[in-house]
Amino acid sequence: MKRTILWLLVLLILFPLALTGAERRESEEIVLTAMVRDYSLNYDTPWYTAAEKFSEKYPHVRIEFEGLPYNDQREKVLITVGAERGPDIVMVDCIWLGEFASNNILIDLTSRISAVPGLRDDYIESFQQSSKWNGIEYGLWLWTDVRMLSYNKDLFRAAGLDPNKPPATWAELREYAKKLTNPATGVWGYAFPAFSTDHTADRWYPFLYMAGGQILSDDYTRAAFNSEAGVQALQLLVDLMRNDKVSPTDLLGISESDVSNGFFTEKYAMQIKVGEFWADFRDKGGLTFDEYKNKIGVAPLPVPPGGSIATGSGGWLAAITRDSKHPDLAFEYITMVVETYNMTEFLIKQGAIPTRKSMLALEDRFLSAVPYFNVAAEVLPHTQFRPPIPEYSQISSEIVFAIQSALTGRAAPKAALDLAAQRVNAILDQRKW
Amino acid sequence: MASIYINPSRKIIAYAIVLFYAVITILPLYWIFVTTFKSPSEAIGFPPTLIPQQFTFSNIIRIFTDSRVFGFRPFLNSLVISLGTAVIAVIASFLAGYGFSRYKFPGRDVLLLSLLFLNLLPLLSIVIPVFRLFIIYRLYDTYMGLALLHGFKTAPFTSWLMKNYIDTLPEELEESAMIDGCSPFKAMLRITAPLAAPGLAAVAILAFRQGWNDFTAALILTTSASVRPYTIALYRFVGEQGQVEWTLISAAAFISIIPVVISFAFFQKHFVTGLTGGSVKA
Amino acid sequence: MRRRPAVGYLYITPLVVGVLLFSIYPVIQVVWMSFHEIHLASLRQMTWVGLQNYAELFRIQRPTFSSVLTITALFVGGSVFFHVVIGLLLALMLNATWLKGRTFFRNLYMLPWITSGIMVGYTWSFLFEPRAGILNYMLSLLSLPAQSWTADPTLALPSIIIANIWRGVPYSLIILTGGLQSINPELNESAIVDGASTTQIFRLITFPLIKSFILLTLILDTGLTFHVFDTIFSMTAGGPMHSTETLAVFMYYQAFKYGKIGLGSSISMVLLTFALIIAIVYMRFFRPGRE
Repeated sequence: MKRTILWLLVLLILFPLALTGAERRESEEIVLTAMVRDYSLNYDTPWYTAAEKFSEKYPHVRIEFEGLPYNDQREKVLITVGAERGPDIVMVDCIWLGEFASNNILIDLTSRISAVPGLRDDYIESFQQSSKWNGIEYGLWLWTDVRMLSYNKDLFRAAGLDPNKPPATWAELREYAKKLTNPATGVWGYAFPAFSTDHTADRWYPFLYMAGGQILSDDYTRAAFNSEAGVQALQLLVDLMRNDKVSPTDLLGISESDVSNGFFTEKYAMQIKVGEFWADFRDKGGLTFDEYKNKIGVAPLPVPPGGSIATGSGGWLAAITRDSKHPDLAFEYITMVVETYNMTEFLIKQGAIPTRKSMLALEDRFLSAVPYFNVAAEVLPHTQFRPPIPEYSQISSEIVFAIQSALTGRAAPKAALDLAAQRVNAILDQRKW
Repeated sequence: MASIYINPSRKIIAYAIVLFYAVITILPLYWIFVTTFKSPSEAIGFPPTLIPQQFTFSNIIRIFTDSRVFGFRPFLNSLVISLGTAVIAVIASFLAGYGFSRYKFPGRDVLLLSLLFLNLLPLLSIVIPVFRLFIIYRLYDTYMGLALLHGFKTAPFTSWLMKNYIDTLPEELEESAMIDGCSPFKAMLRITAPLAAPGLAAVAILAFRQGWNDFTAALILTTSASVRPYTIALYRFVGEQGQVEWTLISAAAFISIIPVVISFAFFQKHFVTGLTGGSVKA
Repeated sequence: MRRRPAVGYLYITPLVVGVLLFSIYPVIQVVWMSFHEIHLASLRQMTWVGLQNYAELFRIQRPTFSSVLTITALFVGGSVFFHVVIGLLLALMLNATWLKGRTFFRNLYMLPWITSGIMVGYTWSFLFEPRAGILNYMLSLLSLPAQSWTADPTLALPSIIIANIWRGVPYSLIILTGGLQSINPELNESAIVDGASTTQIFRLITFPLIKSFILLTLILDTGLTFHVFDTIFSMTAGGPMHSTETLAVFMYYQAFKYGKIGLGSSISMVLLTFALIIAIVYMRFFRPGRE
């Protein structure tokens, strides 16, 4: 009898312990974990090729990757670092840098970067500057991207438009979109994200810039997006969706990747995109470089009357979290990732835009492999970045809400933007920097 | 009763209502069921088809085998968490139910009442402090953490259930065993436990369901693929897909419903009592 | 009944210890945490801020606390109302002895309740899907325009309420069936013999007797619906434009998206207070063992 009781007790205590014990086996091996965007794991480069090279030098170190979609990437980094279970290496969207840095999620890389000869100076000045928060360097740039107009030449032909003449003005954009929209075939003229993520604001900013506006004041302390330029830019989206009915109204419920998918499945004739379609059409659609050029057109975004060419950029950095037990190893690994040759392979495959001078020097390779590289190079000098401040996530939510209010007809563009500006100013008033 | 005359038109209305709501109940589930066996293009085709045109098992196979889609691991994790929850709830509520039923002690009635009170405490309202405590005490992202949380979330009510169940079992048998030289604890295990088996099964199933259907706690308290249950895996899968693949979601949903439906079929009565928090005896 | 308190306490120890650790202590913690500023990325650091988190609740603009409360009230009210009405209707129908297949229907109706909330969410998301969903297909059969359902700020809340009604009807059905079964059938029979009509029977006999069961359903169902999270989160995640952001979703976002754990705790306190009110009302009316 005593034995039965004993067994019961043993079971009670051991059962749950056994469950956890199995998972966490300690060993001699060092494991570095990396939390990166899902799409960056599609090819061997840049992460796996660098990991291979790294393990030649350090055979006892293994690197594990976790690929995450856009929204999860930010939340998961916050939660796991909060839980003291953060990864060693993280991919950071440049707009999260201030937020992550001011919450001590990332470690200072300044002295480590200085220790690698030539590394800092190889970055294009504006990118080198934007890897800092409060003067401290927190990451190494991986790649950037630039918003352009993508359009489907087959659909242009079907609508009787010249496939080599993309819309150059806002008026033309509306006019073309009307011609391209065809309810019978389910084709929409122009699509843009309107879901509750930063993408919605991000794909609106180029229109704001082109009309001469900016998001915040130069010192990032006041809202500036509710200017006349902002109202014009938002009116354009409202015209497209509500007045011309050339953009699907259910965009509010459709995530950014669904929008891309609609373009890929040829349901959207034109859209604003960062240029990842090339990889999609090549890998999933089986198109060659020339077939792609014949099917998909890429052009600078149409400009408003009296406006000038402008666009927006984003991009990703590699950084190290405070939870890393081996920050030096992790840093050495990311320097291998961003190394010119290793990264160039990825950029060419993905169609992303480089941030280092040594990579731009390989322009011929990019031109012959990335179909729209010439257009990207043309607009890149006119690109702008979103404010890298810790409050950006909250500010972005306000702007997205304003865009959504206008798109659903709940408020006029001016009123929606003014209200958002008022709230953004309240958020900025509480800043701690 | 049979002699009472009821207007046939009333009967027709009654049948119509009952059948109509049966259709409403079954339609969404039927939709998941057929989509499980459809090809992806058929699933989103217009007009929708009531019966799969090309019947395929590939969605179910992909769910279990393709770890990039889903894999078997999330179901295994759910199973371990749910079984752990059941073990904890069964042990705690059998002992407590027995104690409440067979012994008299100061505070007993207050404690019994507070069990029902605790049953109305929503997990959601304590999940933030639990998150913080789990991190500090290293229970974050472990099977044990989730099993303990769910086990003791279920236990107050199941203890109350066990107390009522053991109340109906005769005490004399235990007493005669004790006269034969059995210790009280031994008498409990040898005599009462087997008799209480149906009640214990009900407890196990209620606890299992609590672990199996949980989403909220797992969303906040797990992170790694080696611990997170299928509910979270499904949520992540939907998020990671550019285009939502309804066939795979349907297949996962369909698979996940099977265990609860089977246990419901077997332990219907206990289920009903359990689901209503004991307010109704079925 | 044995009178050996020490042994009795021993038996209930595992339960009491577990509940103290995993329910009571977190409740105490959440009270304490709601008076502190805590950031998600540094949970061990707590700064005392007094009532600031509660003040912050009323300052938050996106969404405002009052809109969150309104949405929660609409969600709970809409769900509970239809749960009770449909549940009562079905319970009355299934209580008719002449109806064939009563057990079958009763079990069938249970299915939505035993599945998980996230499954209910995804199932209905599929039905509401604007392009491939069956609901828009039905609208097209009636030559009505297609709707965006969960993507439309006006229709999103009704959409999640519909899904939640579907899920919760079985719950009220069980309680109300239990109520109807507790009525002595002879009462009805004698009423019929006395020539009472069905409506009269319901108004004069059935309703007064199951009134307390209706109240019970209202109380328990309100308590449950108040903290529905999984269905909403999987269907709309609180959007579009915060139009489905109930307290539960609001709490999640403040705590885990914006990292304001202290503020999240104060929202937990609101949920907790409400649960407490429900529990007290429940105990007052339906204290078990009183009957």
